[in-house]
Amino acid sequence: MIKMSDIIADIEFLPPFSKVAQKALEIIRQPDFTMKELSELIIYDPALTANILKVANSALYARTQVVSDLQTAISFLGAKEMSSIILLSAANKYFEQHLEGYEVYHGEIWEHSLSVAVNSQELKYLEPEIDDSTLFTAALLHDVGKLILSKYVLEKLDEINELIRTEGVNFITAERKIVGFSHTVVGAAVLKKWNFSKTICEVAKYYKNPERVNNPYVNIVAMADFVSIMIGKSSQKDGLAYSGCAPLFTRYKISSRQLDVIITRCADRTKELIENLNL
Amino acid sequence: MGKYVVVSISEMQLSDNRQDTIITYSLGSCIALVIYDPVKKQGGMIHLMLPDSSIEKDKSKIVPCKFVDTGVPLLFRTLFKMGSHRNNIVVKVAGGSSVMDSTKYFNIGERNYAAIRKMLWRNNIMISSEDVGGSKSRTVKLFLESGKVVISNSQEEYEI
Repeated sequence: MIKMSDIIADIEFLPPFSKVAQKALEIIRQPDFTMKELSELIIYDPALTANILKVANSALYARTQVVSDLQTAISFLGAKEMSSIILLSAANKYFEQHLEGYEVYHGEIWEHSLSVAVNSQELKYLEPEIDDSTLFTAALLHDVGKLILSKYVLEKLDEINELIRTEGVNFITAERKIVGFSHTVVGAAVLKKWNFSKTICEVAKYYKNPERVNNPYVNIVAMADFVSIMIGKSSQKDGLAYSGCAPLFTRYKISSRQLDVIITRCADRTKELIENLNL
Repeated sequence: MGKYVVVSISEMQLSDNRQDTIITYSLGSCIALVIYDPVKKQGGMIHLMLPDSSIEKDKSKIVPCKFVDTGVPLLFRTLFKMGSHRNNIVVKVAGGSSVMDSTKYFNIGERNYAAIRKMLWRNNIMISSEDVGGSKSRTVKLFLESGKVVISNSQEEYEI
């Protein structure tokens, strides 16, 4: 089993989450922010600037004229879209490595994360009070613990699968029993280290066990994660080895037919995002 | 030259190039129907997501290959147009997994499989082999030269 000190050392080793992105998200959350103050901040991050321009000029927004300056792009895209792009752009680099403990093909977890972010927006209507940007952040980063745990899981994958097969436990329980930690607990620790809010950390920690907390963000991301697995947008090595979150669907009174509608909409939106964003 | 022909979710692909391999990645609750004509050495695969297109209110927006009821006939019709005869077609099915211990109520994998079986049965078409259900992810390949259908995931690889 690995020690807590190994995990802490690995978390320390992760590059810090972009300060420009975090500051920009903070600015957007202020009701009276100006496009000028936002663009003056973002301009210091060339990769982010390039991504914003790329999205503004992508097929998602069929514009006739090319947008070439940041401020025009920001005012054109609007606050909500901006916070998504900022976050996508900042998070993308962490998923550039092949996470062999969980992925068969490189990129599965990033696509899964995008899918959960999209699905959570589709399911947001179930909890109208919650904040869009917090939900998007929590959903996109819910699997961040896998960045750290992947190499340890890879070493013990045979044992993990054996335990799932013989004892019928889910992947998280097997991770905890064989590796010593689950990716959910580690994910919450990473997000705490990056100074994300308690709500966002709680989503990473409990999205596979939403019944343990009373948190609407956790509930939405848990369902969004379930839908993503259903449409085959999950990492293949842990894939479907999780318990369902059926009680939540019952609690929110989603019928089987409504779930089909949600699934088809989420699949379409995920496909659209992956094809168009390609950050 | 043969190539990998990839079938994305809610899509179908057919080929008459016997050097091709048709492939679909990571089926969860989705289901792949594979049809193959060993006489002409041509075939196709569809990656279906849900059983019934009636959930789509706007009929013009229906993506036929997303649903069993619209996708399955389309796949067969396309292979017929390529010159295959229904008596020669070999049919295989894979996928339709469920998340562990999910209730029957939400069991999309099982519903997909049931819808395919019902549709084929109504049309007197037999499934020659299948690998469905459970809680695993599946990648499916159809080799046009041999008609072999191979299932793989992180743990195993086998022919059905």
